[in-house]
Amino acid sequence: MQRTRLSLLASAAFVASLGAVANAVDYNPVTDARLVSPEPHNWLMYRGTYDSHGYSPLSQINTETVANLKPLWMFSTGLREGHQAPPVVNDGVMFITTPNNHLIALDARTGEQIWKYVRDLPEDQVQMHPTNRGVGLYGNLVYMATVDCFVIALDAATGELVWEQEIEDYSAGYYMTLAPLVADGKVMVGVSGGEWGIRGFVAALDAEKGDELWRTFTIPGPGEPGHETWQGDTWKTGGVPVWLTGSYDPETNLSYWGTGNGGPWMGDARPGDNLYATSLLAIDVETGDLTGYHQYHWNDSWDWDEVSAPLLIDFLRDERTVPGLVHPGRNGYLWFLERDGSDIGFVDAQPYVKQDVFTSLDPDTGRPTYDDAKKPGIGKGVTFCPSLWGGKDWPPAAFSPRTRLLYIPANDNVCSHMEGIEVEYRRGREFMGSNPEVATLVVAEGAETIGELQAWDVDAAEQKWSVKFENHNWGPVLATAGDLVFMGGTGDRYFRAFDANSGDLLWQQRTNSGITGVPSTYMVDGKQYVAVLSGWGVDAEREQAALQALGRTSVTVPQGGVLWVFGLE
Amino acid sequence: MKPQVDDVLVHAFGERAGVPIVAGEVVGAPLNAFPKAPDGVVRDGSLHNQLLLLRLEEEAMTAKTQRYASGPFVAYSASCTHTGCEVSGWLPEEKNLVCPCHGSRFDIADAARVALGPAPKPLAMLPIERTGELFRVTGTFSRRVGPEPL
Repeated sequence: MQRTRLSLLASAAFVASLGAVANAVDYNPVTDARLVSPEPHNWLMYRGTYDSHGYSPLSQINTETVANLKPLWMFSTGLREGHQAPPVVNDGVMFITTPNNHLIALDARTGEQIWKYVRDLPEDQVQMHPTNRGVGLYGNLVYMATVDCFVIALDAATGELVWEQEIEDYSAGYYMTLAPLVADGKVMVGVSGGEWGIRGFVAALDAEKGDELWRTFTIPGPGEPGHETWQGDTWKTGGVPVWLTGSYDPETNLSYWGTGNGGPWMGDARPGDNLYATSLLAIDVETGDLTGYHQYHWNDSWDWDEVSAPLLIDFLRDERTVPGLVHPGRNGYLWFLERDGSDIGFVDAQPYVKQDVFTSLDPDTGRPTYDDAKKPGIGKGVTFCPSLWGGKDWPPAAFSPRTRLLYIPANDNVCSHMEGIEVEYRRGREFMGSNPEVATLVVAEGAETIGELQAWDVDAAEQKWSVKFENHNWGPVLATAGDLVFMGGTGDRYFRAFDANSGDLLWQQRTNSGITGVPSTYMVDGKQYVAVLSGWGVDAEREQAALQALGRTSVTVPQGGVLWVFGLE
Repeated sequence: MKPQVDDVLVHAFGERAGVPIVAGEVVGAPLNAFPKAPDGVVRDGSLHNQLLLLRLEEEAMTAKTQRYASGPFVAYSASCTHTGCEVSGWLPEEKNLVCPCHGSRFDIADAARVALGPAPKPLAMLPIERTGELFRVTGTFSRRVGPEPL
């Protein structure tokens, strides 16, 4: 493809406001080849690369130089709630998204605003999770999934809307917060709405035109394998949302997606295994065919969505290199699985936080057995660990091929009490069936810490070190070839850099708000930058409120989104 | 369209959906209602029009509540001010409406004051008047329905 030269003069308002000659912007079209092997200086997708490692080969900022890391510029979004998107960077042009689907293009070096798009959203939209997790790129287009359940494609240079495609009806409870997965000329998204009686799916659109190419439901319909794991009509409203970006293996053209829990929340409201809830799905990108799955746990009753996509990591077991899929589960187990052709095989799993629900795992399949006394139900109140937010919620883990360590943003010592109530399906209304009167967190007695950054050797399947925090941690993780691990996530508003080998804290910066944004790093004109959105909200805020109610903390974390960009002085 | 003056409150769900609510039906737990226009159109297209019709003792009401009430009857928006979920729970002893999504509670005797967060603001009230056995809308909501913009 040709490199297109575009001008900021396209934005009349921009020119008028500055009264100056606009800079010219080079926009380098994004090709399949570039997505498969992104240049080290770019961050072209949600986790940087298709394998979801959240790892950058840049090393100018490293264990030696990080002490000189300073904030260079900031950008205020003017919005509250959860700012979770990674700054996505393509040859000096940065894209960030915000709650309520603002999409802003910035000069990644100077912070100058190139354009801004604001989605016009319906007033009566219920925003269970007011956030957005970033853009996808292809050709000269930039894609965003919206809370009113559209995929939109904008001209990356001007911000003009090129096409929009409705995915589902927001008034029936469907919405989207994930960054689209762009691969093989397709834009793939999944739907949220597990608390609203939806039927989840992954859909693929033609990247150029927006036409829908396929739609693969996460709950099999009548006649499809797995349908028998639902009784009666429960499959129609059984939830199983897909609310995070999938991973992708270009060699097999398979995408890997995590799925949420079934709805309503209580397992006894929908007897059966409930395929493919709380599972990992392998979906052929060309056809949409489901080629394999692994259900992490059956008939969920704990709100343990397993929505994080697995990291594609080849790990050693018994002197064999396993083409792996690694997933620190919300259910508190660290899962090592195998890409077995188009299928998925079980290798091993173990708890990485206190987990008192599983009594054993089948050594061949990984299927857990449960302590029934730890499984809540309708009229059955139960305390279980980890909490409904799990050992790790949505914030992504990272992997460094240099250290062979997996970095997990974890929460331990927090359990939940939950009791089910009967709930009747009504279109577009809450369909959880958890009694809010009795639902509470339970912190382990004497627990000095909750949040952790755990580092696991993927070949030995053992924990190497863990950094602990007094309260909960909702920090997405970035690993770099500078042997640094970057993470925020705590209510004290810090953004931190740790030594990737030892976990030693090497640098920290207090920011405006708490950080649940996915950090990224990039290079422009030979200078490396680290960027992250600070803007507390959504479940991190709700856990903060729950811990406040227990007297664990008195801090209310201030809200308001600000992009921070750091570099060496 | 939002509720308009002279709309009549009708049952929102169930077999009697669309049928006007009569005063004798409003006894204990809150009743879900939608406004119905004089031309017969039920304005049921959005949670933002859904109401919770309640009966409580007049002496228990604060002055602000009384301004929007008609005798012992009061109508609140069913859209939570936190993330906009349907407020569907009810604690009869505390006289609190409860949002199932995050557990916010609202005191119906005190203009839906937030009795427990995370909701930041009270529920909106819709002024009503009992006319015969039916309930008629007499004005606009007391405040923004649902959550504040981000």
